[in-house]
Amino acid sequence: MTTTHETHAHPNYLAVFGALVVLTAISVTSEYLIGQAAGHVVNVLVAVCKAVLVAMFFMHLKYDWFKVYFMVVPTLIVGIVLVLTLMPDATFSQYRNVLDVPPPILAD
Amino acid sequence: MAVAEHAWHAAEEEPRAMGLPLPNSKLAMWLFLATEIMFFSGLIGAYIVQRFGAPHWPRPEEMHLVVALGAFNTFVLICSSVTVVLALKALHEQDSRRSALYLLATFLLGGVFMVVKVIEYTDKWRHHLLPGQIIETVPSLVQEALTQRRHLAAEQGKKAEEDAVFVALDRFYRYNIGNAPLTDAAALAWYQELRASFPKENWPEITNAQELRNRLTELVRQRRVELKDKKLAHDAALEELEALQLAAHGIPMSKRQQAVHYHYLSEQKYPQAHLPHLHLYGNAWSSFYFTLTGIHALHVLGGMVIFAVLLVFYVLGRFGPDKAIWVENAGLYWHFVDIVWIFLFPLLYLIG
Repeated sequence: MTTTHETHAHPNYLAVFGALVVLTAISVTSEYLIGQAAGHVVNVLVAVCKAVLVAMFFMHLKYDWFKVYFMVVPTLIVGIVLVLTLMPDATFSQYRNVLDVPPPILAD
Repeated sequence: MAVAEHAWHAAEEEPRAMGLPLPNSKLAMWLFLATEIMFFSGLIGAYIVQRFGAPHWPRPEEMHLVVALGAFNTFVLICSSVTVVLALKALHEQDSRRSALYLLATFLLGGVFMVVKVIEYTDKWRHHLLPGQIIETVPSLVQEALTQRRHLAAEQGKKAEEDAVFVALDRFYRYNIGNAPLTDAAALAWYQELRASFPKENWPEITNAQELRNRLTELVRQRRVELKDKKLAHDAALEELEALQLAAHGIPMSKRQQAVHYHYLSEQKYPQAHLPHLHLYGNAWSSFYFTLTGIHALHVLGGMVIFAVLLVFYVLGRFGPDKAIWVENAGLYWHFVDIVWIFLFPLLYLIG
């Protein structure tokens, strides 16, 4: 039974660690460097990159992907579809116009 | 027919390698992680829908979220992920002791994460940023300001009882005369109750509703003038708040306008009054914050229990290279918890 689990070479974990720290630093500073809207996009992209790095190297998906993809891919698809299908049903959309009026002049 | 069926079965049951090239426990862990992906997709998805569907959402700094603390916790979890894989590597290299030390480091890093979490939660607790306790509307704000004012009066050595009279009168006026939602009979009945509550005030017997309204309006005005004479910033602010509230009833003033105006009153015009804070959609924010980070923190605790068990095995001398698959599975779970935080951190602390 021991043959079912072949040990593979361990990747350079410290390099991955360095990349994760740098990416975290990017996400913390992005808003100040390139503005709020662009910063938010960068933050999401950085989060995806970090998740991929952790999954590939720490969770060894680089080696195990074809043994487990049939469990991971459907749940990821269903998870993403869940969010996307709920998005248009944004709960307060009816009130958006009522509340979204310009603020009053703040004169005494 | 029977022959064909037999042939089909035979083709289906072609002997191959048994199962997946994966230990059973690792397969089970991946199945569990698949359910966890769905679980957190639901939670984070609900947050995203609510966050982007709401007309307004509090900024992270407004809710006392400190980016530095969140970033520090991110760093701590990344470090702990590294120590887990190094523990596995050490075990593959037949070094149980080094592996156990890395597991101990992982356990301690999980503890550091939880300590920071406790600090953050305590801060929310102190600022009353808990679900259901956050003031979102001007009427509840006025209630809070009145309560605050009563405490203030008591502190300054004034008769708290006298203040209670004002509060009761004022509330009665605002809700039942100012906006007149009560019938005459109900208003009179309430007045009787008010008289009974404050016998020392010697309020006259009134049986005519119109007379009651006139007298109460006069009384409240008189009280307000008295308050103004005291020249307390808080009182003056309260006056404006009341005007704001009355205006909100008759004049089309949006919740956001009220909030903006209130912010101006509390922060710029009367900062010395220390008025309570108003957070539009603060309760929704708080619910999501505590649900998302709380469930994640429970996962961290669960991981710490797993590492503690592995360390107990080491202490008992039953931890060796044969336990590599245990460490690998524990690591898979731990990395998944790390990935969840990788998404929660920017969503809550940075994008907000």
